[in-house]
Amino acid sequence: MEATASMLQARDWSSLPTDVLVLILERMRWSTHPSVVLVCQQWRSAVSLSPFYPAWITPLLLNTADIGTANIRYYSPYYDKNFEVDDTLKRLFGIELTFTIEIASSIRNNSGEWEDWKLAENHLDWSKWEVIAVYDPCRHDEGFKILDKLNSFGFKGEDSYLLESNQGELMVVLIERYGKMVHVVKLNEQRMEWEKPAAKACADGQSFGQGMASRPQLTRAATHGFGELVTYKQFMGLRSVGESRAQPGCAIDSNAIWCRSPPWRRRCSLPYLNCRHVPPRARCPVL
Amino acid sequence: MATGSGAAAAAADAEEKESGSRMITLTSNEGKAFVVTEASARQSATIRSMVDDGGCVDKGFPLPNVDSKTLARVIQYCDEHGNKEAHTVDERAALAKFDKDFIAELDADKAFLYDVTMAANYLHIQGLFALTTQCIADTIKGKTPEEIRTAFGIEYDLTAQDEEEIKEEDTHA
Repeated sequence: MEATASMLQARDWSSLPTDVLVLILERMRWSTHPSVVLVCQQWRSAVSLSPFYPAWITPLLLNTADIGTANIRYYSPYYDKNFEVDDTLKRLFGIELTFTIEIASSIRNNSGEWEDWKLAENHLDWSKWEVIAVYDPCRHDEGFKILDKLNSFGFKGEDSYLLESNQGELMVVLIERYGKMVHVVKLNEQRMEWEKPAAKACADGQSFGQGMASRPQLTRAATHGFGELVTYKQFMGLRSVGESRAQPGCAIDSNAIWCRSPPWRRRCSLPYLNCRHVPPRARCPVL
Repeated sequence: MATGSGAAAAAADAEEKESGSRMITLTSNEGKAFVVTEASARQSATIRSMVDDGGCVDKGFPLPNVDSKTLARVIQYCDEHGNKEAHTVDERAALAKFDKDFIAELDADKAFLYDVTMAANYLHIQGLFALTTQCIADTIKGKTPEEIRTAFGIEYDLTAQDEEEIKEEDTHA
């Protein structure tokens, strides 16, 4: 270091001003925050100033546990990932869609510990928002199939969730900015068009206050014959529209869409749906 | 152009200001003067507002928080973004290429990256600040706390009690 003493002082990264650190944190996903907290005092204090949604109030679950499948899935805004727990197979899936679809899995060993994450093989460029990917576990080797004509919803969603109904229909739940409106559409694969599904599955036109629920027909997908692979067919995608910083404001379980407004910092009034199934302190895959 | 005697100078001045062809002097904390075009200087919101407020354009702007080496590099960025057009695809590609090379050099010298980041923050040069903070974020991504400390030369200063608290925050349920 050729610099003077004062310059050395100035260049100490542990004294980077917190306002600058907060702006750097904004450029990263929440999943990075736990590591940043442990760097040093200054960086830790910056994380506490950054918009933050503590892990322990996070699990917004995507849950089908009460309809007869052993699989439990949820989305964690804290880790910005979907997790899927299969109690029978002792396997957990993490699905990450910020830039590409990446799927990692972890296996719980006999002593109940979760082993390190392993990346699954499927990769898809998710940089174009106007595509929708279909994963068919029967044709696992082919990976994701990309359908076109997605940009014809007729309304704009801040966040969107891709689901598959029990009839094998692809459905998208779109949430407008601040959770103002929730739209549900399904894909007519013959015509490659989005349609409003019948009756109760459609929640649009309603204003969503706190904990307002509707009932999409999100029920059990066929689980027979596919083994463990079927688990991420049922809930495949998340947040296909928006920036990496977008904050999904909804959780979806078998009975309801739960919707909240940002900021996440506000304590949520959501029920902790089946939190007990979530493996404690499962390490998040670094994708 | 205005022809009135009194207005003429003001109009010429305004025109010059408009075109950004005036030269502005920036002085580093070591007293070294850098003469840049106004268009270049206006990349900095801090200087832009001082210029627009009719500040000391003639006297120049002392920058007590920025050393010569950093200022030279910052001006390099401002020149590229302030003086060059970015209308066509090619022009934009050239700028993007410049940014990429610019940040790659800084990335290799973390102390310099720090200085330029601080200068960009102080001078409110939005594009440059975005560039450097993104670079810092990219360095942090996917690293363990230990690896982050190594990358930035940070000393570990958390106490056992801090760690306990952090663990507590993490596992609270």
